[in-house]
Amino acid sequence: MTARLAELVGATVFELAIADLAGGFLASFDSITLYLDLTPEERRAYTSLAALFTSAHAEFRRLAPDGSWADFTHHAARTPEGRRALSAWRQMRRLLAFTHAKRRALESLLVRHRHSRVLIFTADNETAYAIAREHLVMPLTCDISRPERDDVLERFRNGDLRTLVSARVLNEGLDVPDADVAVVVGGALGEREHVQRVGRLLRPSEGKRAAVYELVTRNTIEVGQARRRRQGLVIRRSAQL
Amino acid sequence: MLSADLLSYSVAGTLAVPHFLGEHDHPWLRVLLEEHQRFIGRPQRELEARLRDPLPCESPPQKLRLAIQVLGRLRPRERKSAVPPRRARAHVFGEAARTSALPQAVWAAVAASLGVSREDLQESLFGDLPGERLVAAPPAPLSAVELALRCNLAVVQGMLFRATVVRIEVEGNTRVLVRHAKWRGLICTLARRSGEANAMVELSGPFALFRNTRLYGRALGELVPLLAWCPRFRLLAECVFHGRRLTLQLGTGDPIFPSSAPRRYDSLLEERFAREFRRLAPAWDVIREPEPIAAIGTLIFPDFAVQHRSDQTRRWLLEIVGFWTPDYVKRKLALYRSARLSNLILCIDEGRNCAEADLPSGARVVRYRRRLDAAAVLQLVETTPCSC
Repeated sequence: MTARLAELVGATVFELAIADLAGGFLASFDSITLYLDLTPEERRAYTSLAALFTSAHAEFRRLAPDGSWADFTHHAARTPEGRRALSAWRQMRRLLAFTHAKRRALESLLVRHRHSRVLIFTADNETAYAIAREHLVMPLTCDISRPERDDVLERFRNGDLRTLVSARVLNEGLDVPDADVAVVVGGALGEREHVQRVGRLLRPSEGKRAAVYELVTRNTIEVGQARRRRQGLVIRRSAQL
Repeated sequence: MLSADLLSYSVAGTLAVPHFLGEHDHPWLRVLLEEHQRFIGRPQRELEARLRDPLPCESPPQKLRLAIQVLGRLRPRERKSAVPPRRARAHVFGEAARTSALPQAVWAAVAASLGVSREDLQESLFGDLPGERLVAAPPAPLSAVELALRCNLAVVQGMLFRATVVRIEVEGNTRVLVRHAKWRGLICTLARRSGEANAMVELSGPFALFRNTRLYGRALGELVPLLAWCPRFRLLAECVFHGRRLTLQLGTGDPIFPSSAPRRYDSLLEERFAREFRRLAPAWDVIREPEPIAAIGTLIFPDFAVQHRSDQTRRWLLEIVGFWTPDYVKRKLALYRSARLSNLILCIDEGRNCAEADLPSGARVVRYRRRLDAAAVLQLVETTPCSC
């Protein structure tokens, strides 16, 4: 996408990141990453799933170094080992989406920020509903009708609801009222998604300081994912005028 | 409508040849049905999560996604909730935000205020969301063979969404097809092909229209399963795929899921008439929906033909007229005259005259009120010389 844009309109001549604007045009914010552990059972399951996936994926990379993810899934679906690897990959993601430690961390964050307006971001709808049931916070997903979404946002605006949980709906396209705390339980779409999510908190107001919590599971694929998605927030003012 | 990535076909010259599911696909379809069966009564999201993983046997990914979608369409969608889900959400999450009580206390308070049990309230909370609906069994047990045929039907219907014009040559049971096309308001013309017994139905395709294309395409697709009830047919659809004009061709015997058997009679009145006529007139055959007759620019579909068994020259056509005006009857008679038919009997319900004037003179008519008298028809055909 970026390459295609560059081809059409030329190279980037000036760029500002969110961190460049925070404290001025945008509210200041703290980005806090909480590194969490898996339980021993979760770790055992994760390790065996990761081994299954990694061996098949590494073999594919060896055969097709330039192959895309779509090529891999197409290739993997043809053999029993490949199908097991794909299944392992999905199970890994499900396991990491809402681990035991994430449950506990989220619970304590919700208590700590009881009087704030909180947005919780998840990797998928299933996790959003699980959090909604467990913590009784309103989910805002693509399954919820447009009129109900509008009603929910209005109630969030006037303070009847103080916390919303969402996988993707809050990422973009909705006029979300001001919030001051975000908890990123999981994400799937990388840097751009993360910038949009954090942007939901940065409507400036007098003395405002927002907080973005990221829940990241140690020694899993989430560490790399979190590092990559944070790149969109860092200061990288550049100009080629 | 199927998304474009599920329409599997190959191109041979100017033909788009659909990749139908066949016997070789039955093993993995059976596995898919077994997996589906295991999830009956569980939330749909669990089934969806399972089906995102490959099946334990090899299955072509594109066809598998097609079969999953077709299977999903067959599931009943309703799930009854004790409390309307949106109302349940408004109360539960609103109450939770208002108090600092523990979730258990919130559930209990809201359930009491709504007059339902806590379990019912919990069930209702997301009862309207697709992923939270419980998987229900299809209305009738489904075999791998049927699922394959239904997938093929879905592919053809999906391809017809991209048609500019559809021509169907059909022999036998034409009326079923035409009746459905008219009922759904499809843009169609009819003609008998010169020198052949076939009728030709030509329909505009959704791709030639500017509005309501989705609705129109769906209505057009409904004709496809009816074709299975025509003894012989050939369908040619001019379609546009990725800017390229290709022809979809279907014919008798192609593995398409058939509709349920078309109704033999349009109404109870017709059914009763046929039964009584057969009883009263053993020397006559009653033929339901005889072959269509070519008139100027169209085809005529009489409701019945009555044919004397020992005298082939004594054959009458019957048309049962519902609501009518004298003008309408006049036009109908003119149509039959243009087809050079004089052996027509109109059966007219006196109670359904929608105008002041009476019938035009010269019409051979049996009048009735609510119930068509088979004896009156028999008397007419027995006493009037036939000039067909």
